[in-house]
Amino acid sequence: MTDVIMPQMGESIAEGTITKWMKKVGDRVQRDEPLFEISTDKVDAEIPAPASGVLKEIRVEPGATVPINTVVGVIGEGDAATVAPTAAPAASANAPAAVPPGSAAPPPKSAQPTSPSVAVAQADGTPAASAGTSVPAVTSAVAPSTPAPSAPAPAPAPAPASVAAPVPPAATPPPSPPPSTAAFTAPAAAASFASSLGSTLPAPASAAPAPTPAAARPPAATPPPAEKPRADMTPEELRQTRSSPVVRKIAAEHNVDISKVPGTGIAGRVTKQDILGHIETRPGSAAAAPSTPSPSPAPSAVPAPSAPSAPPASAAPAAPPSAPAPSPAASASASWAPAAPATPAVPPSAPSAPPASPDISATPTWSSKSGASAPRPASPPPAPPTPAPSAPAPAPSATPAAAPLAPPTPAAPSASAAAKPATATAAPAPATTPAPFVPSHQPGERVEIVPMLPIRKKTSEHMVMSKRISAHVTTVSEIDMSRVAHLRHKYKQQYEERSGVKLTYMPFIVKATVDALKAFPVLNASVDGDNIVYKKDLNLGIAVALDWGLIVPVLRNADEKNVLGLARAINDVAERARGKKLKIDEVQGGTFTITNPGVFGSLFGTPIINQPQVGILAVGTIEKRAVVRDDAIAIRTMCYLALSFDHRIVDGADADKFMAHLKKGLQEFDESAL
Amino acid sequence: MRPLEVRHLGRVPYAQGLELQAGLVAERQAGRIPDTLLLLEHDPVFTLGRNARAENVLLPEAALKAQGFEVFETGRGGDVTYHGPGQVVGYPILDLSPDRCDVHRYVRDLEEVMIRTCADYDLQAGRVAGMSGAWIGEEKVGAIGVRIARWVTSHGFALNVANDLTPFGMIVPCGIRGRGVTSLERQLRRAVPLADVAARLARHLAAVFGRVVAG
Repeated sequence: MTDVIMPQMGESIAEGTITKWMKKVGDRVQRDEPLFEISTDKVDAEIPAPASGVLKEIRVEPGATVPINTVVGVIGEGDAATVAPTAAPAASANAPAAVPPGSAAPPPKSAQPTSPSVAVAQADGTPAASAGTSVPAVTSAVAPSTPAPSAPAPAPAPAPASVAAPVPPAATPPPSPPPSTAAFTAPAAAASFASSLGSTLPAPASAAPAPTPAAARPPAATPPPAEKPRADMTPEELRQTRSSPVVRKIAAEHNVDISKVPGTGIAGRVTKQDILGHIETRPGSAAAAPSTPSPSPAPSAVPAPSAPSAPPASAAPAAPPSAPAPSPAASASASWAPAAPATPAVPPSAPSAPPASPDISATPTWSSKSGASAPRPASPPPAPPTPAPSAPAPAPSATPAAAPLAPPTPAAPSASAAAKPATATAAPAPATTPAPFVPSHQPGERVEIVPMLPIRKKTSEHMVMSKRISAHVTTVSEIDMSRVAHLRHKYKQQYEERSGVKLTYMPFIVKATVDALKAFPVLNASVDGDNIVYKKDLNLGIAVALDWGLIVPVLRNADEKNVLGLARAINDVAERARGKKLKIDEVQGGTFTITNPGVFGSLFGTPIINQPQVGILAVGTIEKRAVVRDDAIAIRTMCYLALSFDHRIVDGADADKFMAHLKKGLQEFDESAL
Repeated sequence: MRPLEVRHLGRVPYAQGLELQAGLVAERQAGRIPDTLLLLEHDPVFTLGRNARAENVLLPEAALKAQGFEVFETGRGGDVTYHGPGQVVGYPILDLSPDRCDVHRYVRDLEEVMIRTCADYDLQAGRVAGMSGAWIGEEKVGAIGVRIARWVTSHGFALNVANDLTPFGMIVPCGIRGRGVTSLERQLRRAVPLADVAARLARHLAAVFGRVVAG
């Protein structure tokens, strides 16, 4: 006979409601087969049979709510094997039964459920685990503390007991990796980064520990235990921070300062139940956490290396590196909390720190490239004197979402002042190192702050990069488009009827441009170090304005197409660009670009080169204007074409000869190409 | 870290979504597929969870159907809710064993995913004790309803992005009276591309659950 019991579906769950039995009394059941369903909160769970046999009894009917471990049914007879693999069947009665065999640990109370999680944490290589590596098993086993004496299943009594023993020693003189880890990751990174950027900025430093979202979490997760050497902690702090890895992991994930959570576990330790309860009940969720100062990052704790980024300024003390919270959600709100710069008064507790790291971790998350490449710690030497005052400030400034440290912030004038220069000095740094972002608005101001979409961010980066790389010069020619207008009018209907293609001016311009590029291949080239690379293919990028940004699909081998082919191709890519159906290789490999601001009425623009190309043509609006022809005023269809070229390899003469060629090609457009 | 496969399915009829999930859950239980996240929109539909009380559907089923809404009873937790175009629905098919076998934690984690996503748009969403979901002020922006079978999850969450909120008026969403619903667009007063929201949800879910998005 095997008891079927109400399993515990989570540490904080004390009861469950049976919603449905999938079997009737007398039905045969296979072990692991869904037997009944229970419901808790927002979750429905299907519970498998603990053994094979015949369902003998249903003791709890659907709709009833019973405490966990209540026997809700009995499986008997059948294949005697019943409880088979789950050890100690007779011994600790219901426990094994409670464990849906297949699943590792649908916790039947006690320490057991948590242990597996420890294992996993380590397997994951997550910091939470590494932080506590030396003691995880211990703490986790103990922390839950809820263990019912009776419960423990296969590996019962001895486990908790034996495990519990080591705790005290571990707690006090821990050889603990935590402190060292933190000290290593955070300050080291800080220092090195600062130095690499010429000293000013601990700001990016705080970024350093978070090169990738994944990596970002680690440091964040680690800190709680690491923030302060054990020796410096009060017994109280010690107890509270010595929570299980699972708890620390959850805390880190949710940006919770464990030391602020009332612990109900052994010696005041924070149990998983405590932390989940805390998360659930705090109002603004993430918002709450950061503002609570952590008892941790005493500057003294992390000696030399961290020093520079830390105390001197006294304003926003030290802590950036050790900031616990990885949650971007947290960051947004956290940073708005008055906590940060406003609290110069509290040097040792460094409440300002938390926002820093989480924000950073947020950045790389959705800035496709920059974020990731940003933090590239170089050498460890701590940033020397100068940064002192500025140091603490920029830290939070690295935050994207957060608006806390806006220069104008009255709260921390000195700090923000320092932050600004930091930004400035960072700018000239290599392309891979985006300047730390100093938001310039405070919440509550009458502004709307909208994070950039990835496409916007990429465009932004690309534009600035291009301006820095190329020596832009723009030349403008006025084109008489009357002949093209005439041809377009003449063939428009025919195109539409025969091929279903709408004939615009664009294919004419592309055709003429292709011919001009053939004549002046230097405009179809690129720069590679000290070499000029002439491209044999003419792949024309056509900039398409979309509601959500700008994209430049490429017409490959544009020189092989006639006007009809070009018209088709242009319509096709533009349409697919709007429908987000372009394939990646359709926006790559362009050798020259045409953009068409004229559709919005612009006369001409001075476009930015699409790297690594060396030329881009902007088509101004095409309209009838009064011009002088044969000493008489005539009405002609006119248009300005503006060419931006890279003066590094294209001289003005080349560019203007190219334009002359293009002009001739359009004004005397070859009808046979149609 | 474990891989997470993310599938963007676009618009999917509710019944088809159920079928798809059932298949994936079985596959996941058998270990034949990795953790998977389905992101999709549904045709307009009211769904009743296991705990749904009839009085929370304010119009008779026939009346709802007459207006083009489907009505489903489903095996997820929670009360009644509405899904429709413009709402990003996420169905994580995750194996919570061995380290996340805790349904409360799972629900909190799903909340976290939505809260972080809102934060990306500078919206400060949070939790309300005793009422699952993501809330902006007094209004719910994201709902949760979950099913777990042998610690493999299905159903999941629904985040209101651009959807018409009026259908919520025909029910008592999640059985919670006296609180409204909202959406990202209503909060931001601008268009928010669903694809962008979906991508952020996927990223945050991977981060919260310590998974790596595959592919």
